[in-house]
Amino acid sequence: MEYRIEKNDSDTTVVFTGDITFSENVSFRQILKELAESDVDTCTFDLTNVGMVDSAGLGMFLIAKEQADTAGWKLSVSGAQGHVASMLKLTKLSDLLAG
Amino acid sequence: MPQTSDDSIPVPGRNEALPEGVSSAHILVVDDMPIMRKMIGMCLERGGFKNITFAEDGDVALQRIAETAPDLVILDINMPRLSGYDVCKKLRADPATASLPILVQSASETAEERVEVFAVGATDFVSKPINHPELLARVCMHLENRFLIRSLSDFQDRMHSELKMAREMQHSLLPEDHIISAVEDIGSASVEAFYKASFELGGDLWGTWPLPGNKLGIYVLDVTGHGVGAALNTFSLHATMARFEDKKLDPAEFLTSLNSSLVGSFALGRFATMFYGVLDCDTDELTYAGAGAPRPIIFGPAGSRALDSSGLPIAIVKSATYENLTDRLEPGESMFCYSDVLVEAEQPDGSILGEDGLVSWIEEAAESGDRTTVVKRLLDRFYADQDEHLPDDLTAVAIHRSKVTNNFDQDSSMPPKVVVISTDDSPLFDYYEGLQAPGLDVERTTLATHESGLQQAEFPNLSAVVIDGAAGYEAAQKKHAIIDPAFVDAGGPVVLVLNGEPDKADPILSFDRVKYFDGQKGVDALRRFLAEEADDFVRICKLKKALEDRAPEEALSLEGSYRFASRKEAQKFAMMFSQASSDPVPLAIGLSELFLNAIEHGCLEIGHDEKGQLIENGLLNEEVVRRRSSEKYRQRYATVNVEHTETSLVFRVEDPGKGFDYKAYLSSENGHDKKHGRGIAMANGCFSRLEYQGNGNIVEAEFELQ
Repeated sequence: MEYRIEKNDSDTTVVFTGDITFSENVSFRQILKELAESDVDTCTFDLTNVGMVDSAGLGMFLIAKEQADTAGWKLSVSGAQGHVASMLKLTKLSDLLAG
Repeated sequence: MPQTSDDSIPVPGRNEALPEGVSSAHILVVDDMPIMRKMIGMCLERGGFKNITFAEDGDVALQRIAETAPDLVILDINMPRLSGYDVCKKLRADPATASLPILVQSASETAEERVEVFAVGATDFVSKPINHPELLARVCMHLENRFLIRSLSDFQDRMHSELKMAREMQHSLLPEDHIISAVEDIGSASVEAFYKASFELGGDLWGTWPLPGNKLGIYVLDVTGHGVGAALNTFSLHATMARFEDKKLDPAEFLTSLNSSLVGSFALGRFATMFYGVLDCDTDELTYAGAGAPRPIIFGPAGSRALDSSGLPIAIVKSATYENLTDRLEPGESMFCYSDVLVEAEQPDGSILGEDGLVSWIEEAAESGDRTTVVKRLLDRFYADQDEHLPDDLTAVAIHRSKVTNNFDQDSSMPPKVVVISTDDSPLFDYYEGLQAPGLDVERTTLATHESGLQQAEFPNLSAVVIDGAAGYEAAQKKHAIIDPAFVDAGGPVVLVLNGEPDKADPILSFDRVKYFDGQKGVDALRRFLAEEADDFVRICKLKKALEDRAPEEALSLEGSYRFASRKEAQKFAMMFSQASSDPVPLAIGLSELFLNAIEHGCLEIGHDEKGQLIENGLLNEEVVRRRSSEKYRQRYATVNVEHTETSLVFRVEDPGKGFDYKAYLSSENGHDKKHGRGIAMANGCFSRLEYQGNGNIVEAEFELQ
C-alpha cells in the first residue's frame, strides 16, 4: 500500500494505492498521526486505486473513524470498487463511513 | 590442579565482578603439557572463574565433554594422538556441541594456521605465550555471548511452545466428533470441515450444535487481526456464546445478544464477522443472520446461490441489530461456509480468487466427483498454488444434506399408526383405549365402519393392525377386504388378540402372518408389543425404500474391519454390505438388526424393557442421541469384521457391552418369546448361521451368496 495526502484548505484527501491489509498497520498509524497533527475539517479516503481490503484493513478505517469523531472532523470513503466495495457493503461499514 | 591465589587479575574493560552466571561457567582446559594446564587454570581463577576442569589430551577431552558438556573449551592445537583440529571437527559434527564456544591456543601463528583453525570450526584464537588479560577478555566475551544466545533461544523456544499451545487450545474450541455426528444424524447430512490456524495464530472459529425440535445450528466467525490478541478475542466470543443458549434457535437474536455484550471488550478496530444459521430438518427451512461474514454458498442440483450475510460485524456498534432471513437447504443440497482468506489470498498471477472465482471453483469441484468431498477437492486446488503457511486462519465447512432422507434417527414426524378393528359390540372396545401412547397413533374402528369406508386405504402409512378376537374370525374370512394386501405382503404386523393361547385347530390359523397376543396379559403388555412391532416394521420399510433409491455402485471389496457408533452409520453399513447380494433386502434387514442391537444394547446399554418403554413413549431416538453425547458413552463403538469366503460372507459383530445369556436363549424352544429374542429371531431368518460368542457381545453371522 502507498498513500499520498492532498490538502486543499481544510479539506484533506488521502489517496491510497495497492492493498490495505493487516501488514499496513504501521503505515496506517503514520497516516493517522499526520492527520492528527494537521488542521482537518473533512477527510476523504480515496479508495479508487485500492484492489483489496481485508478485515484488518476495515478495522483501521474504524480506528480512523473513532479518531475523527473524537477530534471533531468528518471522515468518509470514496471510490471503492470491486472487492473493496463488496467488503464495505457486506460489513455495512459503507453506511458507517458514508460521511 | 590449580592453586588458589589472592592476586586476582582484572578482566580488561570490566570494573565490576563477573556476573554469577559467567563466573560459575564450566570451562574445560585441554592441553598435553601440565605446566600449560596449570598456568591457564590459575589465570582463569584469578580472573574470578570457579568451575574449571582439565583434560590432558584430545580423547580424554571428548570423553569429558560427552559426560558433562562445558560452557566453553580452551583447546591446545598441537597435541599427540588426537590433535586440536580433530577435536574441533568432532565437536562440530555433533549437534549437541555444534555451538559450543571453542577457544584455540597455539604457539605457531602462521596465516595458514589461523585460517585452518577457523575452518575446522573454532570460535576464536589466542596465541602462545598466553597474554592473561587477553585470554580472560576473550573467555568473558564468548561466555556472555553464549548466555545471551541461550536465553534468547530459550525465550524463543518458550514463545514457540506457548503459541503451539494456544493453537491447540483454539483447536479445542472446535466441535467435538460426537457433536458433529449428532448434527449429522439430525440433518441426514455429512459435515465436511477444514480448519487450519495460521502459524501466527488467528481468530477463526466454527461450530455446530443440535437444537430441540429436530433442528441444528451452525456458525462460522472470524475475529480481525492476528496473533495472541485475536485468539484471546476468539476465546471470549466462544465463552459468550455459551451464555446465550436460550437464543440459539433465533439467529438474529443470538447475534444481537453477542454484539451487545461484546461491544467495549474488543480493542478499537477489532471486531468479529459472523454467520449463524438454524436448519429445521423437518421443513428444510434455513433461518440465518449475518454479521459481515463471507457469503455462504448453497449448491446442489439446482445450481448455486450465495446467502446474504451482510450486517455490521460484532463488537463495533452497541446498538447494532441483526435480521433473520430465510432460505432452504433441501436434501441433495450443500451449504458451504468459509473464512475470507480463501477468497483474498494472492493467486500466482497476483490476483485474488474473489467470490465469483470461488463459486466457479465450487461448481467445478461439485461436477468432478462426489458432492460430500467437494471441500477437499476445492482446498487441494487452493493449496496447490499457496504456501502452506497462510498469513491467516483458514476455515472451510460444508454441510452436505444427503439425497435420501430416510433416517432411523429422525422419526420425529409422525408416530406409527395402529388400527384396531373390533366388532361393533365388542366388550373390549374400552380396553383398547389403553393402547394410546405418545409413541403410537391408535385408531379404533369397528368392522362395519371398516367394510363400508376405510378398506385398503392405509398402507403405506399403516404400521400395525390389531384384530380383536371375536371380530378377528370374521376379518380372517374377509382379509383382503379389510386389510390392504400390500400391507400384509410388506410384512406389516397383524396382531390377533385372543383370550388365552391360540387354538391350533381354529380355522383362523389359516390366516398366515398373524401374530397372536394373549389379551389376559393386559393392555400395557399389548401396547409394548405393538410399539416394538410397529417400530421394526417402520424401520424395515425405510430400509427397503433406501435400498430402492440407492444408486447402483461399483462392486467393492468389503473385506475388512469397520466401526460404527450411530444408528445412521449402522444403516449405512448394512446397506453397503447388502449390495454384495443380488437380493440385498434380507441381508440389509438382518445386518441392520445385528448392528442396532450392538449399538442400543451393547454400546449404549439400553435394556430391553427400557427400549420398549422408550419406543412406546416415542423417546427412543432422543435417548440414543442423549446417551451418545454423554461422557460415559461417547467413546464406545461397535465393530464389524467382514470376511468373504467362496460362497458366503461372514460378519463378526462385536460390541463393548456386557452381553447376555445367549445359551439360555438358544437352548429354549420358545426363544423368540424371551426378551432378547425379537431382533435375533429377525436376524436368524436372514442368515444361514448365527452364532453368539464371548459373553454374547460377539455374534458371527454367515450369509450364503448365490
